[in-house]
Amino acid sequence: MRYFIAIVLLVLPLNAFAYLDPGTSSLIIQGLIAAIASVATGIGLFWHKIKKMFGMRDNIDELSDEELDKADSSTTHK
Amino acid sequence: MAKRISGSYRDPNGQVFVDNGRIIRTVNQCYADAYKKIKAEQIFEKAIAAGYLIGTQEISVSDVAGLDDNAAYLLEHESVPYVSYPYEWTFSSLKRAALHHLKFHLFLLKHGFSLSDATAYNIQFFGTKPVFIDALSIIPYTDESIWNGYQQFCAQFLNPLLLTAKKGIPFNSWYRGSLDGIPTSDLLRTLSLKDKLNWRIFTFLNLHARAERKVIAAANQTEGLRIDQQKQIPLKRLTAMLRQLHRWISTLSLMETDSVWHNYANKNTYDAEENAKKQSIVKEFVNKNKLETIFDIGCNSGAYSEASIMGNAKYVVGFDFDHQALEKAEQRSIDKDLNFLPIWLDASNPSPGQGWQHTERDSFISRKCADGILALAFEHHLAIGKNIPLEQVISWLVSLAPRGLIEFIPKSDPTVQVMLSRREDIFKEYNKEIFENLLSNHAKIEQTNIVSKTGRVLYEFSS
Repeated sequence: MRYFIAIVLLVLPLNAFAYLDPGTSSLIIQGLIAAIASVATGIGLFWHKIKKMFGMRDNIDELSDEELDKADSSTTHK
Repeated sequence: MAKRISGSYRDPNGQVFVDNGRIIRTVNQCYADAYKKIKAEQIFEKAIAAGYLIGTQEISVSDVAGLDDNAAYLLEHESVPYVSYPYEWTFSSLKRAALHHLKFHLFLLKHGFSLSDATAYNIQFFGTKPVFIDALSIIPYTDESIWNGYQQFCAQFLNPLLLTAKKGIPFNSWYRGSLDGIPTSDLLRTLSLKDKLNWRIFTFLNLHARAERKVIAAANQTEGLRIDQQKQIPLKRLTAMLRQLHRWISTLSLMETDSVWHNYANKNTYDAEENAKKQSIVKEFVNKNKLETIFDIGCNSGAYSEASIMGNAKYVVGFDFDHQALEKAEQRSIDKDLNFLPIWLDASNPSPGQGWQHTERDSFISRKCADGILALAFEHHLAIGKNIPLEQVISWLVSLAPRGLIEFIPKSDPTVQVMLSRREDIFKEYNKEIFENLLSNHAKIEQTNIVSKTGRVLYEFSS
């Protein structure tokens, strides 16, 4: 992940963006943030599978689609 | 005649009114198309059934007089037992509100809808159960649209939680002074290099703050500005972002800090028998007066709030200024499934009316709604701890509800002895007789009970 961050830092084309309202900067950068989140989810699932293959416990905490059907099913977990 | 809630002015899609205790939301013409889609897909019904959205139903436009003519539809909402604000919540409450918000957003995306914003003020509590109240924040999801509420989510949920989880600084005072939440760039200044090397902090906060700095720098140059086209995000990535935030926030926990009062219930100077006696007096007081809503001022870990519920109170709001004690109270409420909401309050500096025209967020005093108060082992914190004249303490407590129980702690009590051991005793007029006189000037004393060997007295009053 650290290498990944380093690469992201190097390729960030931040100078290309210019908005009058600083609040809208979140719209500009969101694509990149969402892309990283997506990659992290992929890596997480990959690790989960590897650990499972070697019989290791992994407390992966992904919300299933069924869990979304009830508001309080996982809102209190730690 | 319906009256608009003063905090409801931002959204052109509709406003909230109170009409004889009913909560009415107008749906203006500009939101009518979105509303038709919501109706067709029964989104409100689905969200209510799943426990996300507050009770909401459409009523006839002619049902309520004195509303904006622009209203195309009217909605009536279930009312919240006690309106509270994020800056008054415990760490755990804000955390649960954040998780509720993220899950609700994912639920809506699953059904082809989304949320137009991410303000924490759109969440209220029934006991410790969060519920989303702003029905008009629900919008149809359009292909690959960006998350407009991202910055708001960070400022109003994520950043305050990180401040407390990473630095052990309660977010409440900062949040109360900055109603829109804690800006990402400000939060980052409080974090260490180690914190910032966390990939989540780097991704969700650092990248965002960097973009913001570049934008401000470009705007200051005034030349070479161009308005970039709004980017799009594939749905899969948006849901990954929401799920990652959910996963992250669910792992955050309150940093243990020194707390004077959180062990109070264990270490305090009265024994279990005295405790049990007080609980039975509280239960009896609530029950015989058929009290429904109780304010427990100085609730600590909520033992007497629970006793009120055992005495058939329908709802208890507990107030305390100690964060660790409030967390314990909250855990009690969750574990025992009580209609009990613990709220952070410094009684010597309660939440003011603030925001736009001082009325956007109501003050503590203007939200009083209890028919009974408990102020047990409390008055000495104001009268001796804060030098507030005893007469003012009593008149404030009595003003909060028509009935109540106030415990008087005499100077001979070890708790007061400890307080006085560090300072000069300037409280010549602090004794049981003067207390009783002052209380009887403001209210009728219904009953008195000596509840400890050290001479603590519990007064029941009515006014």
